[in-house]
Amino acid sequence: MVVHHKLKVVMMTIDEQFEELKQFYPHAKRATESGIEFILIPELILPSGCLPEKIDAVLCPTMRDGYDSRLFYAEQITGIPTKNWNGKLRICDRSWVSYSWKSSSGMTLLQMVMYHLHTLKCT
Amino acid sequence: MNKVTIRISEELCTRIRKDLSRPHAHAYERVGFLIGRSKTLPENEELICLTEYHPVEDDNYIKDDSVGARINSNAIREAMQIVMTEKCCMFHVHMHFGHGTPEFSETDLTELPGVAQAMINANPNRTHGILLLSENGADALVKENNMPAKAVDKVVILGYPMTFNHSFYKDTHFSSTRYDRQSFLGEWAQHKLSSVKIGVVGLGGGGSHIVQQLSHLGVLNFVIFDDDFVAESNLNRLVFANLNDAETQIQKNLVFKRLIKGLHPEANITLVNSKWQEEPELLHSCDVILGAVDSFSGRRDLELDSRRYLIPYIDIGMDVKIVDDNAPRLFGQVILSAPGNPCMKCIGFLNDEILTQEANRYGDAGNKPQVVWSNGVLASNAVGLCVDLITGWSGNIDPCIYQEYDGNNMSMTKTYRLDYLNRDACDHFPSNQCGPPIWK
Repeated sequence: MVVHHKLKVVMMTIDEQFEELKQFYPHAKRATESGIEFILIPELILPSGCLPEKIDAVLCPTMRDGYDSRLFYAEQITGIPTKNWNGKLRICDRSWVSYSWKSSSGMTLLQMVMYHLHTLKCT
Repeated sequence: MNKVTIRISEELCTRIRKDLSRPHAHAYERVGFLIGRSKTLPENEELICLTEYHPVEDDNYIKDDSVGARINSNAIREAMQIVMTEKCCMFHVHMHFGHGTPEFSETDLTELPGVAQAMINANPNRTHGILLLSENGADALVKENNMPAKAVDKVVILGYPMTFNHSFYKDTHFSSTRYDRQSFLGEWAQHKLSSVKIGVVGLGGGGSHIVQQLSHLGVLNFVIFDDDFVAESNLNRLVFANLNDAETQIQKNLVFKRLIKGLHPEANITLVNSKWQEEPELLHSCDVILGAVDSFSGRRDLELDSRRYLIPYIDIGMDVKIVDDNAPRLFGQVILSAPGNPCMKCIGFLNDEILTQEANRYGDAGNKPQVVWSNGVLASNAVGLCVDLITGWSGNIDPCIYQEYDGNNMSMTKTYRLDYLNRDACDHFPSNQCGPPIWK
């Protein structure tokens, strides 16, 4: 861990961020494809009201297609406000869907997952 | 045991041949081990992508004048350890000098199945075997627990041209009269064209020409993906579709089944009436994939899966740009993305900016202008490339192909970008990331 005392900003390495994520999602795993590292979160529990209640998801934590980060789901989620769902995209030998929602940069992996889960309930 | 297909890139084969050709202090030849990643495909086909080479250390050869090379238990134990920890397939590999599909010697058939059996003992849930290389070919055996070794149905080296083991195509039957005029393609060309399985994604203006031409050439095994129906607006370019097809809104796939069956009643056609992403395993079973899709993200995804399962991908596309009061500019491309060689990102065709712009339109490529003659030019070049890849008739050995079409000047030229390209293996798709993903 690198601590910049002047700025009071704590920067975590990607490995430290992944360890933090695994405290919440112990089955999370990493794989690289076409130079991009993805994080698989099996049976991610979704916010209440979502259907299904849990689903496999994959996090792309780096810039791709103009999104700073993006959470992809194994299938479209219902029980939430209408979203611009895209067609199926291929990541690591599996088809995934997501919707258009911009995020900001500078978040840790755990913060990214929490942010994207939060947007499920947003309009 | 299921039907087994083995794929390995020419780039990896070249590295292995170079290593196996090194002299040893006392052994007459060298041997090594190859990691394989397997996947079950439709029709009980097991696909094994050979991805990583492990040479046998010099100290692990035993002095024995009765055989070319004998390795000690350390070498076998190390390979078994990899099989257990990586949960992978393992193939013993050695080389016979000469050209074409090599033949296993009596000694190979007597001694090497025991090595494969040791790998089965380490992990019986994976398929293990023996790969034999020649200077430009390969053949393989696989072993089941306590059973004799069995010949692999198809062994493909992904180079330019592709190399297939002789037993894969030698017994195919076709009318020599029908193909007399294309016999210049080579002695075994028609056998190979009759045996390979071609995937075509997208039956628009480009895809329709591709299927038509491949069918006339004598390709008999197709997997065709399209989820659309014939509409009147397709009739300006969808070759072989007619007014009745548009009026009855028939599925596009069925139009081309009619075409292929009209030429080859015996053809083996798999029609997929959905996006290929719904049935990706059918795509992975193809020997070559030709894509005629609208979007850049669609091309990227096709290349991702093609690279992962060591399949050459040929991409075509066209567009028209109108700037100010100038005449429309009609342009397009034909690209070969071959495993072990520069990808569409390396050659500058796909980049983050283009993909971001498309994503900002929510992935909608829009109704791009299409016209039959440029569809035909691009498709014809893609088919020519595909035939050359399978038969090697032209003698071309450059696997990096990016042709730019200028429809206003009616020209097709190699892009200048290739002149400035680092031709070393692609950084985006290293060979150890082939096969099913490894989540850690």
